[in-house]
Amino acid sequence: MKSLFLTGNTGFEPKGFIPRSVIAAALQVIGVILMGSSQATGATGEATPDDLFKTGAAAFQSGDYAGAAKNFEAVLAAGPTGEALDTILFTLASTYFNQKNLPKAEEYYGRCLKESPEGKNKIKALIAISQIQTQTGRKAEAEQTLKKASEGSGDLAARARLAQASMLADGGKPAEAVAALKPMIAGGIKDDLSVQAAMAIVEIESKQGHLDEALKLLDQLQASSDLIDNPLQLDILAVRIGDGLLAKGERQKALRMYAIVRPKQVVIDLQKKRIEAIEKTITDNTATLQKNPKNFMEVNAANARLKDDQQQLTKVLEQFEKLPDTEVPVRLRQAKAYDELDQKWETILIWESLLDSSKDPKVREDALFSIGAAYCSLGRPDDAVPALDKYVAEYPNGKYASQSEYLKGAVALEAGDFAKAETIFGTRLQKGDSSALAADMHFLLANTEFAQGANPANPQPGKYKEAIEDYNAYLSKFPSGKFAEECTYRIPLCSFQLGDYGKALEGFQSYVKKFPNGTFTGDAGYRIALCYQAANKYDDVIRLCDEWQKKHEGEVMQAEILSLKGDAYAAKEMPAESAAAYRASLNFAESEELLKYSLFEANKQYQKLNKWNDIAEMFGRFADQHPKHPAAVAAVYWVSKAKIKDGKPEEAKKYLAENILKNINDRRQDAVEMLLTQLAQTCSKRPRPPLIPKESSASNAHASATPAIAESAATPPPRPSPTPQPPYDSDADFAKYLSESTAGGSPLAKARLRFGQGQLAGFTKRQERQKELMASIYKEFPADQLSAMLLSECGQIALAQGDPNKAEAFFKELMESFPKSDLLEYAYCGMGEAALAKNQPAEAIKWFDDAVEKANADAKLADITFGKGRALLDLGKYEEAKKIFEQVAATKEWRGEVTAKSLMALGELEEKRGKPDAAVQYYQRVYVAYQRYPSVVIPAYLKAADAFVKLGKPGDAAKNLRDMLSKPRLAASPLAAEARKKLESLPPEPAPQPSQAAQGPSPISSPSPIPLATP
Amino acid sequence: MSPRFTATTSVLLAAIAAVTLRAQDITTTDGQVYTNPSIRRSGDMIMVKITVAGGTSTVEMGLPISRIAKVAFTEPPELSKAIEAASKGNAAEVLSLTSDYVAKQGDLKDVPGSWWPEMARLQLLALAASGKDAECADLARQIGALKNPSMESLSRAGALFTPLSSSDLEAVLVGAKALPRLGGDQGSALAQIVLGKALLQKKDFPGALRAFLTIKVFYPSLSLLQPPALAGAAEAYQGLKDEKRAAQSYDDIVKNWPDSPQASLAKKKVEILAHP
Repeated sequence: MKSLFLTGNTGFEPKGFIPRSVIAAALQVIGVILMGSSQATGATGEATPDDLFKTGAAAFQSGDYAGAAKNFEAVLAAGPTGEALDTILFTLASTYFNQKNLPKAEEYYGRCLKESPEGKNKIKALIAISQIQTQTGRKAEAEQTLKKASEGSGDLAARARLAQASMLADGGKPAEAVAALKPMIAGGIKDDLSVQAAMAIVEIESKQGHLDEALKLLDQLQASSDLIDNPLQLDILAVRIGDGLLAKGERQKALRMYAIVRPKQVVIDLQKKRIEAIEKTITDNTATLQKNPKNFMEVNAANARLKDDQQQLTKVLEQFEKLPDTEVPVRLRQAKAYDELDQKWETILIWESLLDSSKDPKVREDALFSIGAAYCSLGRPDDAVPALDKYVAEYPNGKYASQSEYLKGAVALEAGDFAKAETIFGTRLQKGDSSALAADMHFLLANTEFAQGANPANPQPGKYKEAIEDYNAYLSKFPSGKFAEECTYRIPLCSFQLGDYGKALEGFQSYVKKFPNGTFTGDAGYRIALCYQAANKYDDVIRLCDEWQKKHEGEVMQAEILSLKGDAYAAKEMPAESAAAYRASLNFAESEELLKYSLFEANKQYQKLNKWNDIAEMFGRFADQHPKHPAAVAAVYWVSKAKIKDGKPEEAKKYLAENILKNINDRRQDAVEMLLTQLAQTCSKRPRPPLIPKESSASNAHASATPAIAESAATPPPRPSPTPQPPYDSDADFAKYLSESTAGGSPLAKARLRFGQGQLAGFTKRQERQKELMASIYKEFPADQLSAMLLSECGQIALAQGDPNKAEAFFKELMESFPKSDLLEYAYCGMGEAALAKNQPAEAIKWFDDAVEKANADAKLADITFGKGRALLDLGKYEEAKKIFEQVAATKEWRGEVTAKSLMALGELEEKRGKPDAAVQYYQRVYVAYQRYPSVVIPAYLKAADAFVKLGKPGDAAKNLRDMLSKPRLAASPLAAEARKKLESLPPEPAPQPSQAAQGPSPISSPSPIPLATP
Repeated sequence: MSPRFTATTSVLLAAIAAVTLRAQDITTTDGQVYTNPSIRRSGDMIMVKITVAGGTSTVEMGLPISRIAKVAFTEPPELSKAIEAASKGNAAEVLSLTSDYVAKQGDLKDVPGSWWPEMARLQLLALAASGKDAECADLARQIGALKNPSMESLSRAGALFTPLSSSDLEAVLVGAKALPRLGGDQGSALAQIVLGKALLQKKDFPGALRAFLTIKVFYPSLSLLQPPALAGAAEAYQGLKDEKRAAQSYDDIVKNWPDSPQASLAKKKVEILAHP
């Protein structure tokens, strides 16, 4: 039968059949079952069935099948029954099979099946019959017989199924073959039989063009690659299917297939290891014979199987070693596919693997250049340049030499390293590059100079002059070059940047004349007007702007032109016209900067005109049109302010509430909390009636129209004392605009509402209520529902409540869900503080460092620096900690609670060093200068008292504590209890002794000898 | 050997031997078969209890493990399900399917034919994929104790989580580089995960990216490790300020590995990166 598979060992190909081991096994059975019979006949002196079988077996072993058959027939004639009959029939059949006496073999296998239809040799017999049927040209019968055999269970049935599938596939029935094989892999690919079945299915499916099915299985096969005896076959299948998929444009799938192909040497090493492992097993098996020599037949059989496996693997290995390496062409396909998918890092990995594995200089040249080019595409000059340098060093005249230099310059230019780009292009051009890229390099050289001139971080105006020279050089070398027009425009642009408006004006006018419909005509027109603005010729500017609008209506610079027109009118003190121009600019502006500029310039002009309605209308429209613009919140603020100015506080609050409600369920809108704060602030105060009510001003106007005499003569009527107003209920006022019913029931909306209510409580000096509301957010709402601001607040509350784990949950959510939030530094700092609270100072340092490096901490920098000091202190790194605390205490901008805490920490540090006297100095600095922070001051008093006791000055300790308790604010603190307790164990206050007063102060009441530092 | 005995015949012979085995039949290295005995572990011995002829009494005898060629243990029903879950990158499901077995069947793990190594292999990868580094390192040590050559690299790679946890990054680098990066087995891929994590800690983002992408490019069929590799690659991209590719990596997780432990965070990240 022609094998379906690629090698002989993957399918079932029954050629020979019964080896010696079968006889050995049979001997055992026969020996036991015929024992009685053997003993009976042995008494007569004739050969017993046991003897006959042994003789037959010996003949079989020596290849004397005729002799074997004779002896086995004699055993059969003795009339065995049951298992013995099954065994002798099967053995006899197998003997005839090996003797090539196929009719006899078939007859005995048939008898075996008939006598023991469910006997242990059933499947073996069926397989043997199918072989005989195949060999005698009865394929259809063979197929049916194999089908019967495959219906059994166990490995042999599975092998029968493989053979059946092979016959079906060979017979043009691929679908049936696959159907026969599929049950074998239903439980996954876990052994060599399921591997064979999977390989066979892949083979059939790929030939049928069912690439997806093949791909899925091949994927599984790769995962079980340690079970595969023939890696070459796997590689061939993978490449074939990969190519098929690539041809269909399915790159990702093709890449999965190509990945299966392993480096040749790796496959060779693996195969050698497998062969060595088999060799070891054979040796170990042979060694067991010394202990148990009677098992030599079983061991021989096992070793025979292993040797066959070993030979098969060796044969495959030899074939594989002779074949060309498939890895390189496959990797090239992978590199191309990844490149086309714009997966440049993956492309680099592939080329790097080729650099490692291939000795071919052509492959190396391609690899070196391609790696450099990929880094260029990734915009990584620091990687691209060394890679391209390596290429140029190894292949100075290689096919990519000019491209390499060009790419190096281009990538440096793109990365903003203009000086480097200038050097690269300049050096290459000096060498006389005459490639197709030379003109481009000339132009780019001038651009690098221009860019250095315009670099806002390090402007080098002198470079504009070099740029002018090089643009002119380009124009003289390549007057019709593709960048000639741009050079003509860039030359006056350089003069403009240099402030030489005369030359610039001349150049731009010349450009417009030469290229009336050029790419830069609109921009040149705008800059011509700017030149006039620079010369304070505002009327000309307004005229030029109007002309520009007529010629270039709708072009990209329209917003800039209108804004410039606004500037010109503003300079002419024409606020109405100026505001109108800026407003018009807002309709076209696209850049954030210009939008903001025109918006706030218009605002200024409107304020000059006292047009608050226009301000409200303008900002309102802006907020509607640009809800995501950074100025949108400011716009809402200005609208509400304008409304208040206009005597419409209710409208202002309504407007704020509307804008809050628009975004209340969007946790990414940080501005919501700001607007809530603004609403709370507005609601916190009773609205003032307008100073001159509209009605009364109207009536006054009316009155002024009446004869004035009577009015002036009249005595002013007595003014009634004002009616006391009912108490103002700010909560109720707030609820009119924002309440649970309007905010909605989402957790975020509820939490934000409470935040707003908390802010209101704060503004109305109800701090406890504020704390209560904020704590309810922390307790009731899950972190993944809250906004960045609320997460930060809740994390802080959790820390204050001594729950660092919960604090971490809030801060982690803030970091994960809002990685670009301005509040990120609060999260990193909070994580550090949580780590400190959990006594993990090393971890805390990492977080504090990250706060600076990753979150560019600013607002929390003082706390972060202090936190790092605390962590170092906890780690026992006193010197480093001290430096940090001193730095915090000395930084004027950070003066406040953190200063007090740093001084306190310095005191603790000195105590740890065993210097209570030095510690006391720091504690005293705290309570002398930072009474505003009782949470720090009280511990400072307590620590100082302890230190005085250590110094043997209990009187001073007591005095300090009494001093503290004499301050009502401190005495009322819960922490004061500890001070009272300490005081009980210290000497009592001495009774006043006037006589002593004359003698001078007592040592106890004397001021501390320690000088108090000025904070 | 008779010249008539071909390779195929020998293969078939092996099958003949196998077919006689039942559920937990034991085959010794010298070919002896004990049919359906009950077994238990006692030190380096397997105590085999067999029913003597007639079925009236039982005898227990000790077999050194070195003498056992194979025990035909029944395949655990969870294995196929775990393999299926692994193919979807569903590490949580793999852990729930394998944990009990690995914990309770460890007694016979070194017996030839045991399913423990396969179940432990899946569990190890699932632990690594779930970021359970300490448990992964612990299981790797247990696997290493098997002295099974086919599991050696996996055990070595898994053990690298120990130095990773203690931030002994140099040890991770040396250990990971001792395994072949390309053309290796699952251990090589796992080592790249650990290496990538270590390099992320060192803020060597290009190096970390290379390690993670090695799994994507050269071991794409190792499904359990794809989501953590993609997540690691995304993190490295972010370190390199390449947010576009970071978003693509996260998106890849969301689309192709929705059941993975990384999917939930990846979804958030995609949203964040799409709306910075």
